Amino acid sequence: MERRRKAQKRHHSPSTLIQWRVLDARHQASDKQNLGIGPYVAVVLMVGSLTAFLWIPRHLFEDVNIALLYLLPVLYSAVKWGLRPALLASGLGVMSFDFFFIPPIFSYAVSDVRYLISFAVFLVVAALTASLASSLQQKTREAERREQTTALLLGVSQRLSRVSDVQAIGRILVDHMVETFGVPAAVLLPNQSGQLEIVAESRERPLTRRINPGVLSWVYQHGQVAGYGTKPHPEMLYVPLKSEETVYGVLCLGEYGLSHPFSHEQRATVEAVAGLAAISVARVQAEAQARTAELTAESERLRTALLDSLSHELRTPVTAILGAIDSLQETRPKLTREDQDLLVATIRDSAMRMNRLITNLLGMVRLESGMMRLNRRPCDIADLIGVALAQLGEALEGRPVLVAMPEDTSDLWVDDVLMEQALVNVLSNAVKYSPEGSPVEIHVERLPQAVRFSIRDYGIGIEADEVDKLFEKFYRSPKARRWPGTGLGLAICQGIVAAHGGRVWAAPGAPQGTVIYIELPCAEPAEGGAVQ
Amino acid sequence: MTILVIDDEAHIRRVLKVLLQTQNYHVIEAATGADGLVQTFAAAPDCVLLDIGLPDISGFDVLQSIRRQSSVPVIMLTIREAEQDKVRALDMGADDYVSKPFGARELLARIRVALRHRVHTTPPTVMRIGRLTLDFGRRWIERDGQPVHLTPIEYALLQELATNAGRVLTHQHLLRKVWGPMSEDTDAHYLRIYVGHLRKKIEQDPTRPRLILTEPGVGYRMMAPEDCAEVSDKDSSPSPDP
Repeated sequence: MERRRKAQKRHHSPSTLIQWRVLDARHQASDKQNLGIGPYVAVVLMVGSLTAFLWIPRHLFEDVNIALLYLLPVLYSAVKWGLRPALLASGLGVMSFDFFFIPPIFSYAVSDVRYLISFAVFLVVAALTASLASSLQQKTREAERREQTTALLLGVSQRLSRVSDVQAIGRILVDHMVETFGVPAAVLLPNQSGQLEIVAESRERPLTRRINPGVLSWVYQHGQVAGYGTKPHPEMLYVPLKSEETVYGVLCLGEYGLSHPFSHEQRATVEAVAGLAAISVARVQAEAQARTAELTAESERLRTALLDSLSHELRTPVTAILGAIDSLQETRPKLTREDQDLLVATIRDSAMRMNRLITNLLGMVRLESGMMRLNRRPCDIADLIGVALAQLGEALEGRPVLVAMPEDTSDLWVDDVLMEQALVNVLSNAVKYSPEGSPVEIHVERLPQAVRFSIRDYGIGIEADEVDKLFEKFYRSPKARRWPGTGLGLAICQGIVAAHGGRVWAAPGAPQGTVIYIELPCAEPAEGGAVQ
Repeated sequence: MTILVIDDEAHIRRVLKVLLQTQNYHVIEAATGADGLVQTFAAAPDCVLLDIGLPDISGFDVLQSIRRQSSVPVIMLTIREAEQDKVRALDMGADDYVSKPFGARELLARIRVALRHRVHTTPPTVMRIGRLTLDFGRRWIERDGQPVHLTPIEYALLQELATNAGRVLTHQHLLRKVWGPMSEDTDAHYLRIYVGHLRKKIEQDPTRPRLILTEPGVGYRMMAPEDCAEVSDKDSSPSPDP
């Protein structure tokens, strides 16, 4: 309360306060049917001309006919202007009828007392007709207004139903207010931290008054309209975007200048539109929540896959290591030398396998978290391949490895450590999924804009329909299930190659085996071959 | 021979201790950088194994403090992906590094090389590395008894690598030694080209080098003669019976 009073003081200088009172009075008056004196003058004229028209051939008419004719202006004015002019018309009609047509003429005196009964009947009929007609007219107008409002709301709701973000809702609301009422408007919605923020404002007609933060938060918290004639007397109309009991935001409307406050009907329309907007905001927010939930579910699924795969891939070597160690510890005297060597080799292999897995996992985490920074240097292609082959070491024992590359392969501008990992991942797959002693081939081709590596094996191969899936995280070919693995190696390879602006793809080898292609652009660095 | 192991992981220290003791080294341990420094100066070890990621002082700072007063060989224990750390440590005076997880053979080879370089300051004039014979007195290189013809730069490069056989040499170090102190980083391109040429002349399979190894992001390493012997033995008789 205190804050609001202060805000009121700050914003409403005495001069504007006086203008308000005037405006308020006009506002109140405009709510009643204030049609001016025009209709009454017209009624007087109508009754007068009817009298003049009937006066000349008065001998041709019976008194009853004349009385009935005097009902015409009553009906007309009731339909046209409502009850009051109609009542005036009936009063004037009775008086004119009495004065000009009932003997003695030109006098209100009545020769026959029965005429008084006629007058009374006439008045009652006129009044009833007038009230019926005017209420009919009012109903027609209301129906028209309702129809207009309904059409308008329907239009707005159709436009609102098509949008999927709150900014667009604000935009539509503002545009609509400008089109319908010709007033500046702004829509405020709470941001992430709960502060109300303008999301849309009419551009062609900006708000002429500053938004009063006190009134704004009051409207937002209480969900009630504030404007002319409400307590804090703000300079604009503040309409909450309210649906059921929730307030989603506030619509601020500048008045029609100071002489044109909103009518109750206009206000009702504004509130109805604001209600529609609130429903739309609620819908959009619910949709956003659903999307988030879907994403969460997706990442949940991935996490579960990762965990399943990880727990298996990590536990297997640990189990092997622990088993081998226990055997060595407890049954050493009974073990032959060969058995002991076998167990030690198992421990070593298992530890190596864990190390590979951890390297891949770290690589994946680095890729996923966007923490992978390329440390590009000019690298010799032969060197890159040599280092990758050296990394594989024992795995390549007994394998003929063919490396074919053109003589003049200029340097590649890559992160050699990462590219080496990419090549190792591809090569270790080539070794893993092909029979012992079968060859592995590496071809390097110089293309106009790129260098293409192709790594070919003569192993189990791939199906044509899984060439794209191979590079997905955790994807494992059904054929490859009997070898251990996480389905991360090629995904990491693709991540690394993509980070270099290159691409990687797979193709079934003919007659058997797999070919993995890696294409790296040989774009020269901006400044010579600078080493970092 | 005394070796100081500075590592905060008790398990790593334990494994290293067992391993090094089998080679008749005397092992002392330090779990923190501060303790490591104290031990370095109090016990005067012949070689220091220093972990880069220590809990109290960073391995780099320990290295710097050691280098201020001592030329004891220091071998850094690093992680594989941190090639910039490796270069930095080498620039700061470390003799070599091994990447975790490392094999016992690799570590022992590094220690042997580091200790040897400490004892012999002048390298031998005639060396045998694998099938290669290098006679620096006569500027004569042979491979399987056949003379190998090298350009002056190739020769200088090979000489620098061979006299430091077993040790990693950074790009910068090689550039300075072979092309002179005025050489710039941009000349690394030439270094790669000359290493390529050299490999074609001395390696059996230049795509799978056995003599001049690339340390990605760091530099090159010539195989130590004794390790080379193992490799060529293995090549000639794939199943050596222990």
